[in-house]
Order: sequence, then C-alpha cells, then structure tokens
Amino acid sequence: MNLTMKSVTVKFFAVFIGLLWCSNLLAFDVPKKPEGHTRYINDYANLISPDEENFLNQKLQTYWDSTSTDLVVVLLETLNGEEAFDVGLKIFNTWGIGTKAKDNGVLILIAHENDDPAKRKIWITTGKGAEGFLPDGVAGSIIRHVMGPAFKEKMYGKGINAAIDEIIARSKGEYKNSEEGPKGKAPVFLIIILIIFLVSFMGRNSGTGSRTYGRGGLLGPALWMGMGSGFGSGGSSGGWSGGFGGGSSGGGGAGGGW
Amino acid sequence: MKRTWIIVLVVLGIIFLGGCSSYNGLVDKQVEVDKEWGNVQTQYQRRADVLINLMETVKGAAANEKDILTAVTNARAGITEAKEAMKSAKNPAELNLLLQKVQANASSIRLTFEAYPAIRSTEAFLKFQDEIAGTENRISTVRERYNEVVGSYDKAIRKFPTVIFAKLFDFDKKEFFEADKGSETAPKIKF
Repeated sequence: MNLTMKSVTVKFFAVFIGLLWCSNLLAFDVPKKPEGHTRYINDYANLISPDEENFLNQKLQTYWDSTSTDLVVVLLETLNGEEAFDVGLKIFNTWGIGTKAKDNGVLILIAHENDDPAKRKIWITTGKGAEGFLPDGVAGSIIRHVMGPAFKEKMYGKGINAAIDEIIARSKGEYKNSEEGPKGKAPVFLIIILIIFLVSFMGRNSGTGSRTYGRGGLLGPALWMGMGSGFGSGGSSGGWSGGFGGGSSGGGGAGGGW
Repeated sequence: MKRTWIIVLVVLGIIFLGGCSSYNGLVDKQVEVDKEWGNVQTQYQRRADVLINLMETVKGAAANEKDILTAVTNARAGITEAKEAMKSAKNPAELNLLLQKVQANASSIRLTFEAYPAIRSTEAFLKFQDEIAGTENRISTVRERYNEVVGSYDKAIRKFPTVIFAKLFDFDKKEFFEADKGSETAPKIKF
C-alpha cells in the first residue's frame, strides 16, 4: 500500500516537472546574456533613443566601476502572458546579475505590451545583497512615483534615468568595487608576444640549417597572428567589462503598472 | 597465499573507499537540504515579521478605537507565537500549518481596513503591500530551491549502491513542499 502511494507520488512529480518543462519551452525565452560596456541597458522594445542609451550605459558602467553593483534595465515588447515577477527572476538568475559573493544586482524589467496597455508592467528584482538599500517597499514607491508618471508621458529614458539616480543615491557607501578584472593579464600577453617576437627573430638569424629557419620563420608569424587576433578582441573592449558576476536573486523586489 | 591476502585487502580497501565517498556524498546532500530548509524557515518568519510591522501601523492609525486596538493586539500575539514555533518546525506540512495560523490572524483585522479607508491610500500602507507581495515571492522562490535539493537527495538515498549506506546510517527521506491546490505560490493575503 505504502509502496503504491510512493510510486504514485513519484509519477505525479514526473508529470508535474514534465509539464513545467514544456511550459518553459512555450513561454518567455530569456534573451542572450549581454556583454561589455553596453550590457546595462537592453532595449528590446525600442523605447529609448540611442543617445539616451549611451548616456545611461556610461552612467551604469561608472557606477559599476566604483561599487561593483550591477544595475541592469531590460525593456521588452511583451511578456508573452507570463508574470513579470517570474520573467524578471528568470533573466536575473540566467544572466547572473550582481557579483556571486555579494548578490548585489538590481534588475529593472519593463514590459511595454503594445497590444494591451492594461498589461504594462514594471518589475524591479533585487539580489539578496541589494535588499538592504532597496527594500521592496522602496522599489515599489520608485515605480509609483518616479517611473510610472514619466512612462505615462512616454518619457521612458527620463523615467529610467531618474529611477537609476534614486537607486544609486540609496546605495551610496554600501559596496566598494574590489573586483579583480583581467586587467592584469594584458602585460602577460605583451610579454608572451615579445618573447615570441624575439624567438622568431633569433630563429631566423642564428639558424644555419633550413630546418631551424623553417621552425622560427613559420611558427613565429603563425603564433603572432593567433595572438594578435586574441589580443585584439580582448583589447577592443578595454579593461574589465566582460559580463555579470554570477549573482542571483531570492525573489526580492516589487512591481507595478503605468 | 600471501598474494590472495593482498588481493582481498585491496578489494576491501576499494569497497571501503567507495563507501566513504558515497557516504560523504550523502552528507553533502543532506547539508544542502538543511541549509535550504533554514532559508525556508527564514522566509516564513520574515513574512510574519512584515505582518507584525503592519499591525503596528494599524495600531497607530486606529489609536482611538478600543475594539480595534484589542483585535490588533490579539492578532499580533497570535502571529508572534506562530513565528516562534516556526523556528522548530521539522517539515513542510508543519511549517505551512503555522503560516496558515499567521494568515488567519492577519485577516482577522481586515475589517479594520474597511472601517478606515484612509489607511489604505497612505504611502506607508502601499509599501507594506509591496513588502507582503515580496514575502510571497521569496517564499515561493525558496520553496522551489528547497524542492530541488530535496529531489536530488531523495534520489540519491534510493539509488544503488548509495541506498545501502543511506539505510545503514539512517538517512531518511525528506518531504517536498506540495503545490497548493489551485496555485503554486504562497497563499495570498488581500486587504
């Protein structure tokens, strides 16, 4: 009797998890994790101008540089009928917003819902380490008094900017950036390239046999090119700007409409 | 003769080592489950705390109404009692029962809000609603995580050969949080 009960429970869970999985397939897909200096503002709904986007990205990069706090904004056309809270949490944890040790990320999710303005939603999701300076009640009042009124006037960039300023002001002094970026790797790269450079030339000069010449002469430039392209892609972004730090959220935050 | 003994010792050694690693694996999983259980308890208690704070606000707003004050004081005491009991709750069913007690106490003062529509529109009250919704979300998130680690633990203690060590060292099956009928989230309170 007990055994059949158990197997029924197991089956029930299998079906339940299966259904969850299927519903995940049908529902909202988390966009690809953004990287680099422009990872903070993700406007999939085309609501803010490129100038505003640049300005905000720069402000948030500066903020990250001094506090290691990720403050990320995602604007979507639609939630595909999912709850804003669930979508926010999914994006937050898939991207890993905030650092892993401090969980100090904040995500502002905005769903424009072109077809049905009644469903328009703003959701602020906070990592555990951000709940201190941004409790749910404060997140809610930023939505009610800062973003909501601006969004009603269709001033999305302005509303987001004001919300960001408010959050930054509240988090002052909470965290310092002690993140070690791969900045230190650049000199190592240079040294390796220098060595290869020297070796390839020494091979060319000191080699008397064709074998030595071939080794130095062919291997050198080949490595050169490999290194060059590797360095180029790393160097173009300049300094540490890779991605988010693997933070997660336990479901904190608040939401509202406009 | 000597060689046979060596072979026997090696085989025993391998079995012992295998046993150690699967025992240690079980311990790791159990620690993980206990950790998540602690997180679940914290979030349940947090919900009680938010409601206790809400009671204080109501008390302040309805300072002149003796009946309401008594009702609020009783509700607060009931919530505090349930919150204390949460600390020693052993399984999801026990914890959910205590949460129901908290909710019942909280909704007993709902009438107060009907009598004082002014309270509802204050920013303080709106913030409390955000906080309450936040606790609901945290509870459902932490429950999901707990169910995940319990799932992996329960699977491990039933698999061969781990099942031998699980039986030997009394690793008991842990219970899941079952989804509430009609909803998978924490029960909601509406004021």
